[in-house]
Amino acid sequence: MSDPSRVRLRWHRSSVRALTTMVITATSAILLCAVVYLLSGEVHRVDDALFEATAGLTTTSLGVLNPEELSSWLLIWRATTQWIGGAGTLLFALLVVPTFGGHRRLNQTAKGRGQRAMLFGQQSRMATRVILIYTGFTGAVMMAYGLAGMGITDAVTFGLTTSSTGGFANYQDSFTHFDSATIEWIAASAMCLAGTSLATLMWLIRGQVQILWRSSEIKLYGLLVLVSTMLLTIWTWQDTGGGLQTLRRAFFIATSSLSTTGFRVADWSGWDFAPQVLLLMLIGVGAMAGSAGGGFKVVRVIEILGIVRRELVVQLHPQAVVPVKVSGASVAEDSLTRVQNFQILWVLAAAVGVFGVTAFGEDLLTAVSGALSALATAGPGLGELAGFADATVLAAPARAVLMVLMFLGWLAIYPVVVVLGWGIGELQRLRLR
Amino acid sequence: MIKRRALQAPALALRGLLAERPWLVTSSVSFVVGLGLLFLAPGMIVATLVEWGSSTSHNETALGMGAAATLLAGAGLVVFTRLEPDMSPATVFATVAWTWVGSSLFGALPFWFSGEFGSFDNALFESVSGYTATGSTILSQIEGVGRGVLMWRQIIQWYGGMGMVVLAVTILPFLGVGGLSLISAETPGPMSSRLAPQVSSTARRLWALYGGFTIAVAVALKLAGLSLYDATAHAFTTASTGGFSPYNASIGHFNNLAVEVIIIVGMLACGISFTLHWRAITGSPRAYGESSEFRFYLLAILLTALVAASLNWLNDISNFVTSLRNGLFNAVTLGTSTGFSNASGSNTSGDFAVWTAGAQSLLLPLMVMGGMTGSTAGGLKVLRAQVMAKYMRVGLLRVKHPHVVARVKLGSRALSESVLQRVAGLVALYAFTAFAGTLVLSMLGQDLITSSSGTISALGNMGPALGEAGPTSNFLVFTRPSRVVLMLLMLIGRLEFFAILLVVIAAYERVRRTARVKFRH
Repeated sequence: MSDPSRVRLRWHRSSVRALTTMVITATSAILLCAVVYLLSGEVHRVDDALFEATAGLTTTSLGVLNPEELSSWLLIWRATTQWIGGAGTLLFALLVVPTFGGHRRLNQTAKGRGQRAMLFGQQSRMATRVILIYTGFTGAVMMAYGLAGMGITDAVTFGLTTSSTGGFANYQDSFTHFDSATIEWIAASAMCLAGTSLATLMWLIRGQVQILWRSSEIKLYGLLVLVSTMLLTIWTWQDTGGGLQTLRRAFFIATSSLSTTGFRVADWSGWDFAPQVLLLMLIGVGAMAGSAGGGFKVVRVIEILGIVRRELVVQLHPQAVVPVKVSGASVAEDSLTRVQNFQILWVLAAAVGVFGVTAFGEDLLTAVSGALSALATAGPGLGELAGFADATVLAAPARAVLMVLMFLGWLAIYPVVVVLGWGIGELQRLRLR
Repeated sequence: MIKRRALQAPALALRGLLAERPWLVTSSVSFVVGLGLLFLAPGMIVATLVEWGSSTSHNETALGMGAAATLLAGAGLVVFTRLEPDMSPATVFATVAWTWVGSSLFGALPFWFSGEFGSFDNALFESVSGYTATGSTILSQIEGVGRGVLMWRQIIQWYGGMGMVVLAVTILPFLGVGGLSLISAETPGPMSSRLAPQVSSTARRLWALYGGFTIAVAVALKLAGLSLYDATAHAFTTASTGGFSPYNASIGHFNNLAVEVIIIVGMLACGISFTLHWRAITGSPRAYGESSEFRFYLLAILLTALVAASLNWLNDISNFVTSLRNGLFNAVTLGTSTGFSNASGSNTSGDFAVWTAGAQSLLLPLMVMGGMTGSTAGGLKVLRAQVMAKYMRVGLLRVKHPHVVARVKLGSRALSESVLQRVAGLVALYAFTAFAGTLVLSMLGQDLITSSSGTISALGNMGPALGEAGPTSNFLVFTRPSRVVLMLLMLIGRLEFFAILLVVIAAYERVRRTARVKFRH
């Protein structure tokens, strides 16, 4: 992916080829990262290396290695895999998704009143700029961490894993290790920003905040952060000690879940059921389109809500033509179709994942939360995966299932299914000959 | 100016609520509600007689009073209102919604009067769970309640299985004005086709088939050695795929393989589209094989049963034959949204709560999917699942060939884009409601598994759920406010979302319109 413009030219010829390239690139990247782990001499099992590489690249914070036993250069490498994974998500969204008619969502964050606020120019320049902004954002987060008193290795690794919504930490107790309010505020704010689209960041830097208010995706994202922070503050007042600390933790956990980063700051399995379910749902909703985060994506939620609303209105007024609107512009029908298909694929993948995990001996709660979390590339779960637990609590085959889910979640399922279907079709054709 | 408006708004909204019939209770709606109540009265009288004739009778007054109240209210409504030939979509939905709410309220009266169910909301829960053919109970000791009251529970489910509005259309051909839309608003499934050119004869045929199945199951159960009471009671709830039983252990009470097989066949048959049955009976049985929905339905249930049974067997939950028996029974009872249980003292693994987690997780998709279109079963319906699967395939095909003209076909019929959108819209609505329900239930105190499976179970009119609310448990594990939420979910699910939601939305629209008009003047 050194020269995005050339890549684009080649990919444009056929969407299947583009998707195949994407899947192969992703797979080989995982294999490569696993090899690095093995060559380091600190990881001895192939499956552990593969799992850690998958979790890293898919920006899921569910590893199997104990970070406190790793050397600092391997820690940095581990964080870098997440950063690369985040960049991969962005580039996939930018270069591959348009080849099969997807939104150029990076470009469309702010649209309204008839005029389209274009942020990025041509696709080729777009890729460069996206990576530049991403790098700049990472650098800023690192600086902030450093100024707040983290050591240099920590600042670098946490910077890499925060901006990529990855969530790998250098300590088993994640952010509680620092026990610093400043660091937690910085991390929470950074995660909140990392979960928005890169275009949002760009508009923020340019100081054109008024454009942001036209985007319904940003509004919903902000609303989700606000409301869930508020609710969590109320619900966990007793559990986290009350006062500003509760507010900070609530904000931290809400953004950590919604942006699908997965940094831990408290064990939420001991809380009431309501915050647990809310957090899982936030993980499911996920970040905004055009961010490095995973999940179902906020814009799709808006579209699904629009479809629901339309369905209700049409029942009452059968002749009515009701558009589904995002940011004031109506969404094209075929793109609604795609969202609906994606919804089905997503639920299907989650259901198969839950069955896979339970079939290998895990309980239902672990499986449901774990599968959802893996598919959204977040990490934290309930049951055995609660609190600061890592994936070592699971049996090896169950981990393999989660690996597949993380992979699917990273590539937004579609490409993998298309490529698989195409592959099977080709094989059948070969056999016929 | 703004201040004055803000002050006026609530007052105007209130006036709108009172003046413009925002809840859509028109004369025709009240008329059909009254009819529905009149139909209930005979059932209550039968239950009163059963109670009166049984040795442990002590609740015949409760049932009698309930019957009298229902009869009076029904007669009053029918006499003092009249049917208007106006059947806008809003009126259709309002008719169905209010008939169900009215019947549930009056159906709860005997439970409440008997004092066995405690407060009125508990009695209402049992009644709603009955009408919607859900089968979740709040009784912890079912056998302690009088036989007549229990029979009323069974009869309620039988009414609810086919629906009071369809019954009304059967008996009163002049309802045929908006009849077909009434039927399709009440019958589960996306597209209900006519069985006959005339709407009233369509409804009559539906009820004839329904009655026929009930009698067949009852006779078979009687032949298998059950008492007349048990045979009828279970036939009512098998045909309606409801799942109430007058025994704590449900079907496990008998611990009889023949009974289980009869119930399985009965449930499977009533989870099949009644239109398909009619075609097979009047035409040739080959109609079954030709229906792709039927094949999908059977395959899903059998496959789930087989895989769940093997998992249980491999994990040493029970031996192979027992695993197969329990797997089949539970897959059928959940796949048809019935909710019987065949667990007993000697067959503890009939309770799927003790199954291995892998087998349990297979039940959830089956619960979401439910039975076939136009059957008495609930859930999202096999047809919708099938359409969504095909829709997805076409979507994937379009990724490969952007300009391909691909159609979603059911049998030989290609579905139009608007039908597809409706199906997809309903699936989205279902998902949204399920998530909202889970969140609300968890706020009211249930854990993730119980609240999510409880929501799915209530929406699909299943009965038992996973987690705390397993088949041998009861719904008292849910807190009192969450039982109200569950009631609402059951009604929403049974009437396929629109009737209940649209009445609320129409009310909102009218109030808003009233307020706007008043502001202008």
